[in-house]
Amino acid sequence: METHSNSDICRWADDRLAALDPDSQWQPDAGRAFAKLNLRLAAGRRRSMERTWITAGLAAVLASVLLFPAPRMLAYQLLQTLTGHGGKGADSSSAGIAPADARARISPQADRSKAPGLRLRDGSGKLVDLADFQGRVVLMNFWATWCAACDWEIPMFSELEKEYESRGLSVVGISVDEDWPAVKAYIDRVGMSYITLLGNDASARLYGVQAFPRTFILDRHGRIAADHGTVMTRKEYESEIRSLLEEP
Amino acid sequence: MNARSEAVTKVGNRDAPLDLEAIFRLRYCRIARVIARVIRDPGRSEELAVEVFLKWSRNPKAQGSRADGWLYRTAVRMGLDELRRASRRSRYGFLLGIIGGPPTPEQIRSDREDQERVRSVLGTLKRRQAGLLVLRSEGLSYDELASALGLNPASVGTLLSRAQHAFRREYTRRYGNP
Repeated sequence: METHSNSDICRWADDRLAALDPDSQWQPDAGRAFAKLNLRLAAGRRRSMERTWITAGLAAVLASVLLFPAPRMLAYQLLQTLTGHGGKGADSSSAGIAPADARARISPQADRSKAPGLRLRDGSGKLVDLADFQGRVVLMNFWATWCAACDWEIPMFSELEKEYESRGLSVVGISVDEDWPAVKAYIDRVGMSYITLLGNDASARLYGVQAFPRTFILDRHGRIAADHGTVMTRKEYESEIRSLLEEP
Repeated sequence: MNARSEAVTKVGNRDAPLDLEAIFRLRYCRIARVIARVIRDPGRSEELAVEVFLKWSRNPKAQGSRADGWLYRTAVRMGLDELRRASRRSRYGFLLGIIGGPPTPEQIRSDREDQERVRSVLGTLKRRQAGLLVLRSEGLSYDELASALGLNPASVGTLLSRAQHAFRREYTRRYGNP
């Protein structure tokens, strides 16, 4: 076997690698290359600035959606429209209930239909009939413990009931959870002050409820005066309630 | 120190503000030459050298006293990556770019063949061994090699010798006894 000393191999490798010497005529153009480098750096800075602005814009939109009710409501409505839940997209074929519309105001008295009868149990097991509220304006809210938008509305309904109860308003919450311990824990946590009934699929179907929250306002004669399939502001609810309370 | 080599000077204090243009003008040609040793295309070598400086300018850890070593190391790595990419392309028949292209009279000259043989062997060696051979052939001293590749200066000779043996072994395996 042929053997070679280290120095032989070193020389041999150097000879081979010398083949890689660049052409002696070739001289890299540092000036042009530096101009190219500056262009790349400027483009990078521009992209970075754009990213910063986009991130700041998204953060501002997110913050306003989270912190302020009006944009939060708009976002929620948009989400509902896009996903086809609630709003005009809700299927309300049963019981002759008209589709919910966030913008709908209370309907004229002549157009109002009788609210379907409803008998549900409260937390203590007592049967409560919707007809018991005849002569009062009823704000009936279908909700669920897992519904994020309901979290926002329920404290507002408690406040509305406190303020308008003496003038003839009753707020009735209908939970569709069918799990009283979970509902009870929720009521205690949120501090719901109004009556809560345990609903189910059948009661939700009766009112054409497919998405939550869904809120109906009944006039003093037990007729549906307003139907909201989305989150509304306190001001909007208040104006409708006042108007119904003033009706004969 | 090798006459062809520029001294691997410390191109600045870590705390000093980065003078990109000064360092670029001082090092660019050398970096482009190192890359050109690994790949054939001088134009592409210049582009890759700009890439090296672009990466360097965005990496604060590589600046200051570590700049030289980082620049050489990255130049060799990018050159070898480009070489390996081109080898893969040519393996699948796409003879384009730095290794490929239609043969020209110049390419069929024996010195060109020898260059391609050396490059193809370098492309198969370990990255550190290939880096040692390329930078040594560019004329870097043992101290400069140690600084550029982050090696103990005392072991550069041994590592270089191993790299040369590995280079010869692979060359012989591929192209027969020289």
